[in-house]
Amino acid sequence: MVSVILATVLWSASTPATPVAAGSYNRSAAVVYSNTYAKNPNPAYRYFGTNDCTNFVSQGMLAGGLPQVYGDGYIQNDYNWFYQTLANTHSWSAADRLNVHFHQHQYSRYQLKGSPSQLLGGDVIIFQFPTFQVPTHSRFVVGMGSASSDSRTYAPGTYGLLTNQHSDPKIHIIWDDNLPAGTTHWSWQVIW
Amino acid sequence: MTRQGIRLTRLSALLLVLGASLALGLHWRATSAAREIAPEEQEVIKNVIDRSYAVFASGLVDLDSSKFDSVYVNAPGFQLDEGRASFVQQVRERYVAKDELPNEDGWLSFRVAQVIDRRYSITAYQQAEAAAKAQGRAMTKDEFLSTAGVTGQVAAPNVIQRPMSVDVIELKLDDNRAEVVYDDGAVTARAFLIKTDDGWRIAGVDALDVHP
Repeated sequence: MVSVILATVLWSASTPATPVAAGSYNRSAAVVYSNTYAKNPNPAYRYFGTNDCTNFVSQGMLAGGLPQVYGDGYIQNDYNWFYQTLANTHSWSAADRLNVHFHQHQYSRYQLKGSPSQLLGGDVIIFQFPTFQVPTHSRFVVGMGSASSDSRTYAPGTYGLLTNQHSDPKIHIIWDDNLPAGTTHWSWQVIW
Repeated sequence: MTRQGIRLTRLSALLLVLGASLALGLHWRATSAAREIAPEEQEVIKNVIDRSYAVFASGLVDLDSSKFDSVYVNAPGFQLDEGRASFVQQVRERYVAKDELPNEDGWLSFRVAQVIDRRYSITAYQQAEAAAKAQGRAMTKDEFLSTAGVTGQVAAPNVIQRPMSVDVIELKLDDNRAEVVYDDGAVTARAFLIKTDDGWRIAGVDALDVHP
């Protein structure tokens, strides 16, 4: 209850980006943001240490102009997706909850694609490792290009679909770099 | 020093040496179990873990769990945590294909339940998509959501398949039980294996650290 009140009260607090009209998701801005803060977290946001992946992904989408979803104000409600100074929705910062949020807005804000190859810069991939029974990781797609020296599975310079991530902070790694066999993944395209 | 005093000092020294030896011995046994395991057996155990990744990934792709018992087992003493136990229970209650799921709970049942849940979601998705297409339209959001598995999410469209060779960090052996700390690249995990009549099988896995 406290968190609900807190979230409601804080709606008017600062938001790091200004929502824009539907149909205007700025993929370039989203990618620039992700590249800027991939290795150095933006101090304007809380940093969740080794669990910052989805917080970082959400920041990228917001930087692209994707409007926050306040809904009923409950931070536990995965239909909602917002960040405030002292509280954020679970869907903002937890991979499994963001995946549910994506489901809740299928066809209106996001669309599940059949393969990462169908994604563009500004889109998101959610991962479930074989050790777990729910998704625990997400990466932000930044487009096609050459892999950086942060890569572990692929040699630096390998051409492919690049992503950025937090925890561990990495920039320009191929979308499936360093992920074990049996990892399942959902490729979500922002269609705002 | 009196003769009795010398005798007591010698006794104390003897006890000290005995105690130290015992302590060192126990310590050595506790920390160097891996060194007592034959290299061939270490390799066999590692291979089971490596192979489990391929078997699991193939099972998710083919929607077939029939080979899972070659790497996983339900073993007494290795309980599922609350989340996984609840997942298995929901799969057991929800789906018709109960015969495929062993009666007892454990790591094998958990893995099989994942395939059953995934198969249900994929089949439901394909049916909903075909029905919508037959009506000349795309699926609605509600139809899409109705294809979700027990976790509330539709089956992930893709599964990563690649050769695996985990880094074994620590291996302890106690008779027919092994505890292995290893890293698969994204996750450092602790696996518990037991030696069955058919060889080593994984009875449980805990994630220790996530660092993709």
